[in-house]
Amino acid sequence: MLNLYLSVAIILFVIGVVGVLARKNIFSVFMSVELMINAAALVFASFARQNLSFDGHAAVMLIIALAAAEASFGLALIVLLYKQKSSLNIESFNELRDGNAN
Amino acid sequence: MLINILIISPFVGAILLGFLYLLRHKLKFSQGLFATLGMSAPIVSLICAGVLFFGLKEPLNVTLFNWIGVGEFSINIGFYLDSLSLLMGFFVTFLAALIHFYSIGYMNGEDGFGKFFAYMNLFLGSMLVLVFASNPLVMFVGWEGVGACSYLLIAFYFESKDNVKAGNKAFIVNRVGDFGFVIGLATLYLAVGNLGFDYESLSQNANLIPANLAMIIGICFICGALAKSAQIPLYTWLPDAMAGPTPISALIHAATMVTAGVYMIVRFDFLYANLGSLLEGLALLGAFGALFAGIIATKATDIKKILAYSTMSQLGYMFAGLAFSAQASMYHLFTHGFFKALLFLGAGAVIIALHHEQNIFKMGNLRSQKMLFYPMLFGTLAICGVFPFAGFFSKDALILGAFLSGNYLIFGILLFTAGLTSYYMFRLFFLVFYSKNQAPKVHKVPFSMIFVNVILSVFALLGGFVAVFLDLAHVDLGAEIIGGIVSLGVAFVGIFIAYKKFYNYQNRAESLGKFESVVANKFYIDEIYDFVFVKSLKNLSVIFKEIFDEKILAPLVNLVANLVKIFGVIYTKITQNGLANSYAFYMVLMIAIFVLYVKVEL
Repeated sequence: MLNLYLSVAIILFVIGVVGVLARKNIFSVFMSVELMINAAALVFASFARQNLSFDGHAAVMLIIALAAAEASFGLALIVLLYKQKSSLNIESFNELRDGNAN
Repeated sequence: MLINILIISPFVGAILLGFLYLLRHKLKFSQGLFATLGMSAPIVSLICAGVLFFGLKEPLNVTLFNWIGVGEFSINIGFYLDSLSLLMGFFVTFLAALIHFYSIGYMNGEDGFGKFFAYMNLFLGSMLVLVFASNPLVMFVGWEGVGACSYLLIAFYFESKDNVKAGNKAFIVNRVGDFGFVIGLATLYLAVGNLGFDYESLSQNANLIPANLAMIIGICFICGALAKSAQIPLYTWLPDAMAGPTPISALIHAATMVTAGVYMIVRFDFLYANLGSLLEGLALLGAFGALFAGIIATKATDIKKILAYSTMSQLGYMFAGLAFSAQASMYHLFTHGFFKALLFLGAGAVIIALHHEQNIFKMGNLRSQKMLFYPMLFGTLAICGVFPFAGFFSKDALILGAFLSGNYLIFGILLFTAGLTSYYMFRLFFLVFYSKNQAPKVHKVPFSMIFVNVILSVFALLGGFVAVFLDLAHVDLGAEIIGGIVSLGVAFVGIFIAYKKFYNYQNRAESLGKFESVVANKFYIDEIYDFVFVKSLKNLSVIFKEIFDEKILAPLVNLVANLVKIFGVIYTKITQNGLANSYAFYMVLMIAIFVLYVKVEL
């Protein structure tokens, strides 16, 4: 059983990574990050089930709380960024590039 | 305890004088304060040295403290008091005290009065460290100390570029010799140093040194001695060193520092005892140097430079003597110290009296100045070896020693040089005191200078009695008398020629033939050294700078730098785009590689 859970987690995580790396829309990137977090939470939960221990569940609760906080903060950030650039394309957000490093 | 005071007081004096000199404008010190303070150190040292010299019968090894202790390498600061070092120390402090006193008159009214005495005290301290050191490394400290002080004092009138150059020259030429000395010291330490590095243990273990190694060490030490004692080929600094004030010339370049080379060879006699052939080579070099310097002195015109060449010549005698009798060499060292100091100080009095005129052809007819005349007369007679002056006994001991030991070549050179010495010394003497040239108007000479000259005149006359303190080997009295008559005869021949040529001389310069002008130009040795060592190195440096560096190395280095820069620019253009997901990509890539690596390793 465990292997199945872990396989699902890996698939979720890889989808998340590819999403972060490849998607242009900043919302998609954001959701991909959420996917990766959930994959990690899934791994915790499955190991907790396997070992009959509540430690993993505690970690999962923390991760969910973190994800919620991150979602509220990230969405606020995206709104602000959209106000600045009128665009959701991630390639327009490279203001922090080191202009001297050329 | 006395030995500590003896060594430390000049250093304390130097430091105090130095600080007071720095504060002289703020606190308005009088010259008298500097003079008193400057005089106190040599007098304290002289008293200590006197008490030790007359009181101590057995050699004494005083260890003060451990200076360097790293593993097996352990060097103590300590002093070795035996008859040799005590006699030398007493002699040095005695001369130094007299010359300090003389300087009060000579340097009167100069701005650097306090500085001068600080340097002089420092010099005295270094010289005493050199003389009394209990191991070669401490001796080297003193050795370098006197070198540094001589640099400071030669370039004392630093406003003039020539003086500074002369100081640099003395310093650099001495460094050449010091290289040899340092290499010798290191080799000696590696050979037997772990059994104890002071003179006592070294002399016990000297026979453990392999013969070839001992030869190398001996040559290295001689290299140092040649530079310090201004012998061929490292003599060129001594005539130039006359740029310093005259008391310096007397103290450093005649009586004490230059004799350090001879002293050092005698100090290491345990090493040289088995190196007879090396000492004979050195003797030949010394004898040839004596002759060479004598020849140059016959055409020199600067009163102090003539004396400088005569110093070099007399030091050549001492080196020649080392091969057959170190005691005779030391004997000549002491008598020479007295009359050479006298000659320099007498010359200093003449120079002061004539408003700093140093060309002997612009002096003349000074014999009415009794206080200038007699010291110079005594000194000149002493250096010429006229009976009963000090130089007669010591020079005779050396010449006779060369003859009796069978070194006929050295004997011949030394005897001829003795005649040459009386010729050029009386050339100077007659030109200054008898020639018909008109000297400038005569100044009054300060009391302290006259006083010291009188005392030294007595010693030039009686200095031969230093022999009481040295156990000179006595040969047959008849042979000594014959030797004395021969050398006296040679001296008188030289004096007679000088008398014929210069007694009534009246020309402002000497007419020079072809060979004579070569001599007057010091055989162009300075120019040759300049060409061989200075110019060639300079040209080589220019070639390296302009061709090797500018044409080859610099473009190569710049090419590498530019390549790196170009690659860097390209790399940053691609990678540093400010996009979060591309940075995330690098991160994932690196983690993947790391995971792969760990996986493969496991």
